[in-house]
Amino acid sequence: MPEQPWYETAPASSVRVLRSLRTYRAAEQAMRRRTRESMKMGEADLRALRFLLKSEAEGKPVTPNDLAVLLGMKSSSITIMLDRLTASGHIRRAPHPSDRRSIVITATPGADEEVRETLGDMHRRLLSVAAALDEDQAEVVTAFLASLTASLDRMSAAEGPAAGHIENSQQK
Amino acid sequence: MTTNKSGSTPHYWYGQEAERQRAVTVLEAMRAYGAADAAMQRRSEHAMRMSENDISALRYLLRANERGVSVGPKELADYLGVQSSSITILLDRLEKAGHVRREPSPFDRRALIIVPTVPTDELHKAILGDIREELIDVAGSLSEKDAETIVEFIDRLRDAVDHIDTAASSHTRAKR
Repeated sequence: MPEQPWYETAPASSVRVLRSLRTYRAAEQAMRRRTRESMKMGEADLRALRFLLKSEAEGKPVTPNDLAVLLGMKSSSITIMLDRLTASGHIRRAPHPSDRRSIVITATPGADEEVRETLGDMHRRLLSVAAALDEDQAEVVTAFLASLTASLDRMSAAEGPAAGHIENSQQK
Repeated sequence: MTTNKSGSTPHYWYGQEAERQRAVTVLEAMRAYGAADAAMQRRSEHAMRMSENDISALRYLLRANERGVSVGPKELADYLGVQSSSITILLDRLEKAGHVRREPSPFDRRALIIVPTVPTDELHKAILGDIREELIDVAGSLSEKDAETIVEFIDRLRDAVDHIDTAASSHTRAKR
């Protein structure tokens, strides 16, 4: 390595920021895998379930097509997933109230409880960490994360499509 | 903005709701960053980049090492949320790279412990080595004070995320 690495010359504070972020992301991914392991579920299953619970709280019905869009999966794969989650007692299918050709998917109370138990505590902890920021600090953190996200999105766009898009297909 | 004309008493719930909303906005920004980072990560998989799994594994081992605690493959697999077959592959790779060493446990010769052989600052360098230039520029434009705010916040979030696995053990660990 002939050149000096960037972190030898960059301001110490920016080195710390990027190191913290990367470490956080690593810890977060480990946490996600632990959750999936403990619930015996795949990433997509868990995301579908969380989406169902959120939509239910907002009073929005969810169709299989909504899930296909959310997860970037084909409707045939969604059907397989729904069969699995029905068999495991996590979801229920019901006729759509206004569209007779469609159905709505709801999470069962058991699934609600399971997700709450696993993710609820953590979400509360995260919220309380974020709530400890004052208005200016919250602004600093949010603006910084937004510019990082914008940079990453620009780089992604410049480099063309990626292989998969499970975790990132959530923007809409 | 809503204005309140119902009297001089400040509406407590409104302040609380505003605070909650602010916290949600921050976490939403974090989530969006995570999604963008994950997308980028999938792109750089072929590139020479230390995986998040490797970082988490080494961090866990180094922290345990600092506390004088030894870690076996099972405990590490539990922390990472991976199956024991995957942990073997991961350890093979880390051992080959000279980051860890497997040793017989001093308490049970049939069991293995994993000893980190990479110093903390080496891990830090490895984490930093593959960060993209564009991101370095964004971080470089922060004032020192803002950078400090961000680091403190993110480290606290990280502890909150790490909490799950340490919760059980730290509650029962009455003595230090």
